[in-house]
Amino acid sequence: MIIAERKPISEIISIIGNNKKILIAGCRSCASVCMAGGDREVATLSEALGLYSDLNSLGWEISEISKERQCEKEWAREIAEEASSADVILSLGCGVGVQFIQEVSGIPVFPGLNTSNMGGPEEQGIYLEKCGGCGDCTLHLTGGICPIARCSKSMLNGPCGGSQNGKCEINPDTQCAWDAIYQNLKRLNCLEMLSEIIPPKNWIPSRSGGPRKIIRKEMVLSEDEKKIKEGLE
Amino acid sequence: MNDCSILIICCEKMKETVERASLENSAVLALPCLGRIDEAVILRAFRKGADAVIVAGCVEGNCKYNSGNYQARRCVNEVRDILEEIGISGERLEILNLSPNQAVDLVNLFENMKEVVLRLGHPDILGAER
Amino acid sequence: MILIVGGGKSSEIAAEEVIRQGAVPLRLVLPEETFSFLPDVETVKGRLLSFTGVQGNFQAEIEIDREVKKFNVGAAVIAVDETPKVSDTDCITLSSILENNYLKCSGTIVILLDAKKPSRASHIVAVEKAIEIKDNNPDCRIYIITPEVRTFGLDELEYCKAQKKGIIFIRAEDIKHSSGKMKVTDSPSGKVLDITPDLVITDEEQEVKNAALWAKAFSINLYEDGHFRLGNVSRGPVTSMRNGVFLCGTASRALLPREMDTSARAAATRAVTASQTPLMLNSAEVDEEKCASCMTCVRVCLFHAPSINEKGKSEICRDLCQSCGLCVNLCPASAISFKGVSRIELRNAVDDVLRCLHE
Repeated sequence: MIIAERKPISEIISIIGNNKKILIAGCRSCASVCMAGGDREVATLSEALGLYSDLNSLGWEISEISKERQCEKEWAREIAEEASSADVILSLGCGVGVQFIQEVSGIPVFPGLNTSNMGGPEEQGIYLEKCGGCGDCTLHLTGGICPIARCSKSMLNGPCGGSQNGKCEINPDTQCAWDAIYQNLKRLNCLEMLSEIIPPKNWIPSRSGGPRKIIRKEMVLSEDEKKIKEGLE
Repeated sequence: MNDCSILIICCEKMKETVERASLENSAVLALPCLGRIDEAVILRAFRKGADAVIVAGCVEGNCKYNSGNYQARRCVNEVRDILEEIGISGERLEILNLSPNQAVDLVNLFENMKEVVLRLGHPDILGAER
Repeated sequence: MILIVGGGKSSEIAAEEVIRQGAVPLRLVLPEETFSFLPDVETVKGRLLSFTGVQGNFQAEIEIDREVKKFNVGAAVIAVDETPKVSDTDCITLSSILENNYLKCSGTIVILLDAKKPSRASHIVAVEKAIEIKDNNPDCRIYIITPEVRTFGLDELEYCKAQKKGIIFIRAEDIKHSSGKMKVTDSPSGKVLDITPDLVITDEEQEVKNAALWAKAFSINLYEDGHFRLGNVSRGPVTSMRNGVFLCGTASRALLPREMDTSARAAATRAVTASQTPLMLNSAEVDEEKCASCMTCVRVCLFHAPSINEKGKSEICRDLCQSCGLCVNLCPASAISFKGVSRIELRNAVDDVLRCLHE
């Protein structure tokens, strides 16, 4: 899932600027699961901004909405419709959600979150990055641990000299991915895999090849179907 | 500036202690357990004209449901940060771990809070229906 | 009917107390467990498959001889006593000298009390036994070696008596024991003592057998050391974390024999009272439409009430919910509600109390 966190309130306030009617839009998918942009956080932010507005007599009118996912045009449209009388939409979805709503909305959509990474909860309230989204997965070679996302240097053959007692030199809290890979391969009885050098990987499917587009041909509707569905012609 | 209004949010177990202390210019909001207290509730209280908020729960480790007062502390810390960010002093929010027979702790904290409010003044809530 | 789990001493006392208070005990032991025979108590050998319902009205499903039987019980008492862990050393253990007659031993006897999770009674048992051996054979030398002598209350008198009889107590943390020789550093003086014992008796680490199994069946919690977790002190003594399920004996912590007796009677008494006062609590409820299946409620609830159901949505078990409101608060999708403390109700409540204050 996508992990995000709320921007500092002061930054959100400065982003809102002189706008008065604000619709805070939550997302009930990833942003909600990582406790950044669900109904609960929408309510908290709404009260916080309301308090700020009252305090400075800004007269902000704040309303709230949450949809299943902001990263679908259908739901993005519902949010945009709800915002017809607003000046601005403050999205508590990830960066994808903000763009989807903006595409269909005639008023500005501002981000309330900083979108961070693809990961999951390590425990309640603690989220770790797990996947680098490189487009060319090598997890079968590395004991199920992603060196792209979890090694600070994204090394394909490690560890480097900065690995000390299982920790990465950049931060004593950061686990050394290659130490973890070693431990996992040992657990799986596959330590011999470490003697294989992993060759340079194909970076074309990563961001290095520009914005990515994935097409599932068998899922794409024909032009005719699209026209019928959308009532065109 | 003679009257300051302080909201005391407490759990069912502390309700009697808090009410019996009958603190002037205070309002009491009792929840089943402080585990229910969320950021929005406290922020709402300031918005509705509370000059300060006291969250009063049982002694840590003594919550009937085990997690209530830990959750309340997490929540209070979070709200303090938010308050500071929007220009309200975090001193206006305090959490107190109380045992039911220690109303005196509450009274002392209440007096301290009154002084804090006197020093800082009312938050200038104009939009609210005061 | 009161369900009593376990076959040890505490279960006997609890069953006896339940009868004395005019209720009917049903004792449940595991098929492989040994237990004492009690003429007036129905004892079944079986496995607890499920324990549903609420205080005063529980349903226990028990598999007896491959047949599932249902029992209606008002409350339950967990009376699974600590038992010594099977030790991997060949030393003679304290519990074995209680069972067998070691009174005739002679020479140098060392009683070593340094087990990690000892029974609370081990020190007093050791002191009493040492006196007995010494009385029987005044020529033998007895050392009791321990970091700290833990005889409590009146048991201090026994400790004093033992010293007067010439039993030597050595307070030591650093004990080396190999091939019949012992090197012990006496903590107060720092002196190293060499002892060549003829017999070494050790105390044993204790465990609550099958605690995890019972905990799962009853949906209650354990401590890290494998004892059953007591409910918070504000629930009163001998409670577990589930209403209507009580803990007695050494199920929850190390106890002296006389404390075991008291706690078994207390648990039985509370269970009888609880079975006559059915508890109806409101349960938090999930709006499946809104639930994001984020697992927050599952992770934060200490009472195991929420779980993700077959539809992939959170479902809160009414029997286990204690109505504290924590999940209602933390649910990021506001999908969980609970009468009186929903987000909107709470917002209105804040508005109301402050409006009253300002009027």
